[in-house]
Amino acid sequence: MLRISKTLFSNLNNINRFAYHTISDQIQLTDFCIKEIQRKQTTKFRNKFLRLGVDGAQGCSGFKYSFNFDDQILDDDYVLKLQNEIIFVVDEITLKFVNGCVIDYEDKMIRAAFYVQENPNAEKSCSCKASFAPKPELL
Amino acid sequence: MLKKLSHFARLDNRSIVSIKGRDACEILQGITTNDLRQIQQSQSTLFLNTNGRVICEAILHRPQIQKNDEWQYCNDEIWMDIDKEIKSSLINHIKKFLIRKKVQITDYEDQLHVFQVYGPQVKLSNKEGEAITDPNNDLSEEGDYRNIVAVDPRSSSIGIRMVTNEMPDLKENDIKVQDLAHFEISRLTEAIFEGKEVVNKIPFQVNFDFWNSINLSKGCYVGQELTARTYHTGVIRKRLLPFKIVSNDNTDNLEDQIIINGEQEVGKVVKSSNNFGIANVNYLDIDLEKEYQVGNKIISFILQEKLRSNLIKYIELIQSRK
Repeated sequence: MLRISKTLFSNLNNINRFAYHTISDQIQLTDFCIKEIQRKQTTKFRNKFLRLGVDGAQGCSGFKYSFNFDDQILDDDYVLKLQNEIIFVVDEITLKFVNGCVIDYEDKMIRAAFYVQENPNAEKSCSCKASFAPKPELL
Repeated sequence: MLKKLSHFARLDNRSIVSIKGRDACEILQGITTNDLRQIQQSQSTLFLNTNGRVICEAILHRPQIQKNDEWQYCNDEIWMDIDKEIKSSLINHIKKFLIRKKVQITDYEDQLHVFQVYGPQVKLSNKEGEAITDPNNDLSEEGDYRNIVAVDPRSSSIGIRMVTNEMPDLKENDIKVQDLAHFEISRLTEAIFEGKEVVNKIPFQVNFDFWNSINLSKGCYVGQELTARTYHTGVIRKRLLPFKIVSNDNTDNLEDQIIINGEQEVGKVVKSSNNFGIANVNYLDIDLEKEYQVGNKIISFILQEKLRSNLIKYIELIQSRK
């Protein structure tokens, strides 16, 4: 699979020849979430972006969200850019499960973390917001 | 070891499905109720749906292969000993979770067979789920995989579970070959349920907390939220228990009939044949040692040693919470 680092990416003029897609309105990020990503990009995770993934057979509803900061883009990724800066990436398989969702950041005493606020593809989600059960037609 | 056990049955209702691959154990850990990290040779476990109801019960076996003249456990393969009729629905259930996971599911129905060696009032010194390797009585032979011989992981009172590719030679062991129905009765008198008997039930209702199948501290798995909540904050009022019919004439089928104690409703018969049956009983409210009435028949519950001690332990736990 084609791997291109993001630093290489930004130096190229013709980035469109790489087969990645842009997120238009499939996934929304709240303002607080965007602010937090940008804050992290200027401090701890320079030249990195937030990646959302879904893992099977984990969590109490069977599918678990995973957030991490990454600097690699694969050729079937969906990318969200803000002011020409890549802030958020999701792969094709994950997008199928999270299409139409809202991603937020919470900063509470119990935890400070990114989480999926609303997922229209989920039939059920667990109380800790870490896992969900997708609607049967998605499987 | 085998000499204490006098009966042998071939379990034609069970088949072996192998799940193999780097992520096999990780996937099973995420969708089953027992902690796979603690498996010895065999382990009893349950597959639940997100509502905490049973999809299938299974006995997981860890196969051994020969490497450098030594038997070694495979770290990337697990054999699931499951009911034939529920097999396809379980495989579909597992396949749902296989996104980005490299796992191979193979059905060994024609190659591997499951056997049980059991007997009345058996007391084995080994613990549940332990492998049995008795050099004088070792049934395993050299080959690709070692024959699996282990104490039944649910309860040692129902003997030894074996998975082999051919009928073991039992001539020297003085064992009587029985049919499946004979073993089913021994299993049911211990209140151990299998296959269709457990589908869509709550794990506790079919006593799986008594049979080393539910680990309440392993972490998240599918159905964990409801299972943990039921156990820690709820009270399990109904369980399936075996009973025998005491009165003479016992040809009628008692299925779906109500068990009564005077005016009080105590439970309902789920299954009955000859002078034996299974009932869903409100066991907390009654004295299980007494006799009860179903229609014009008198019944009494069968409480084998393990079931009795587990029930007492659970009732004490409930009382200590008050």
